[in-house]
Amino acid sequence: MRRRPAVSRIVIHAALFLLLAIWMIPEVYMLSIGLRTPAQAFDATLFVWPLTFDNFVTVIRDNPLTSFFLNSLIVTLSTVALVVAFSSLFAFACAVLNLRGSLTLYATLLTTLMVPLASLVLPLAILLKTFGWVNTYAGLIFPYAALGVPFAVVVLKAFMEDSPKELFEAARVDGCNAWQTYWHVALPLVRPALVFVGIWQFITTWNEFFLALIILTRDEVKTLTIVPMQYSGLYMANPGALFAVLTLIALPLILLYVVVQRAFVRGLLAGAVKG
Amino acid sequence: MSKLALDAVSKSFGALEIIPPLDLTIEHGEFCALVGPSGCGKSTLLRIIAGLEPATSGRVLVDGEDVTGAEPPERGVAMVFQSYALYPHMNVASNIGFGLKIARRAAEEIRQKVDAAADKLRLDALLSRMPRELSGGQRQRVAIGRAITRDPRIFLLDEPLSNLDAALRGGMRVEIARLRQSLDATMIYVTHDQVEAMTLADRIVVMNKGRIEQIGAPMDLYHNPANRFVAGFIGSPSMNFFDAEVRGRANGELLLRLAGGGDIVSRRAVTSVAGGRVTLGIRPEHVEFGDGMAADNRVTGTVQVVERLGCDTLLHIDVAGNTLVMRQPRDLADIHAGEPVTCRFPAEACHVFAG
Repeated sequence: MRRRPAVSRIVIHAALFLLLAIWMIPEVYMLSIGLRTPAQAFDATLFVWPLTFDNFVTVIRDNPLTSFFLNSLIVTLSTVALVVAFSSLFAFACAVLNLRGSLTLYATLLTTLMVPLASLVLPLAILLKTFGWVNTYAGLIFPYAALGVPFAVVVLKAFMEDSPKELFEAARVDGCNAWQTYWHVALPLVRPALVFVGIWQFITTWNEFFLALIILTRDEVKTLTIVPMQYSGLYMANPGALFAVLTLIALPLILLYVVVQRAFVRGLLAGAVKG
Repeated sequence: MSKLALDAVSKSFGALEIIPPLDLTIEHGEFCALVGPSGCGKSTLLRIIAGLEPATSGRVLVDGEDVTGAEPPERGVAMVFQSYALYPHMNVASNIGFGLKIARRAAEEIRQKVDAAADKLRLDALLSRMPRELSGGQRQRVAIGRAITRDPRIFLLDEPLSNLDAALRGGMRVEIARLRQSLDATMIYVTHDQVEAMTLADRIVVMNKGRIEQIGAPMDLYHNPANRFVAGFIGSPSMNFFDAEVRGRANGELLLRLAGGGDIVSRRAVTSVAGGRVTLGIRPEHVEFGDGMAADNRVTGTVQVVERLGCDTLLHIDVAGNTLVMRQPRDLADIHAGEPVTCRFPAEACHVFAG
């Protein structure tokens, strides 16, 4: 590949740094407010001095954060597992097995992507109450999984359709049944897409607030995203604590992204160019 | 080793008939090549035999057993794909042993068979490599190794050399011939390359538009093509064709007049030709220089192109608006483009085809 001239590279890097800075402002501001004293909380400046960890201490002292964190983790990981399992099976049925009626089902599934969550909350709440799933992990896991599967199916089906058909035929000749073809051939082939779908679902589930707020009222099952509500009300606000807890919620996602960013980007780009 | 029989097998996609009903029997241990131009249905026929494509009608029999609706492993077939179809996430050893692993064979047996296949195909040093780390020829050998470890009754090879460059293809052709001798297996080989078919096969099935044009041993097809299509497909360079008209018949000889002028006598099988307009065919290697010889069966023309291939020389000669290709086992240093030449068609080498 031809190397760009030095000046051009400097301009491109400067533009990228500028974009990065603009993107980072909300995150830096969130951390900055979390590290302020109550008196400085509403200062318009981005950076203040001195810094204090009091807000973090308050949040940790006031809440069983470990329990909330574990609840979030259980709900998120279970949802990710369900979404990856069901969407990959569905995509395999559509893209590889070409099962009769699978495309009709796929088209029906796509229509659910167009329904806003807000319009589903009331029927969902009634349904979950009927099932006795209010204040349970299942009350979040299954709705989250159901809402996450359509997007994941779109991604995985596209990946499987792009995979060489001969590999699936070779598996048939080698004696694989449908399940073995799925497990030994299809899943490894779409691994970058699985990572992408898994991370995407992890982020959306971890950050979900609306349904969690409605379904969970008991502390034993509450997830992390409900905690900030305590520090923001009509007649009361503690912005320092609010942003401290928001920072704590975002931390696992940032760490996760740092660890798997290569796989995530590969999943986004795979199939974009001919291999 | 097994015998394969196709009984009135046909294939249609909707209203489009790809393969009209055809019968074909391939004997125990035979190496049979299905050849024909792209789109003639040979790969589809192979996929029907493999069980990857359902036949629209007819039966597929292996050793007399009807396997028409059976899955590929139940038919006892193994297949080498044109694109190799190696599993990219498995190393060479895992690729070769995958079929055995799926068949739940013991780990020790898998190891032994993988080692044996690797030894046979000179892959010993590559067993831990991933497919992306292999050359085209090595990948093809792995694909063959994967097929042979399962001890199939019938090997199916779908244009296995078409993705290789010319030099590698020649080498792999020899490897397949050697492998065939050591395996002693029934093999069905699909190719559009008549050289591969001629050099490897015991019997060639020439296909065109889903139909079988002719079945026979390679040299039989070369010497006695049933029709113009087979005559043109088998042999390289292709046979020369000229429009002609039957002027008479006597003592097993057919007297023809070429459309561009000139009388030609043919002493080949002419009983199938009734008369009227016909096509005269002669192979480039059978065309002779006509100077100083008897006056019969001669045509004159102008040399257009001289191709010196080393061992042979090809002359492209314009004969009354038709191009005649002549092959001579000499360098013909004294012949140049633009020169007039007289060529002779030996009567024994003149094929005559209807229409």
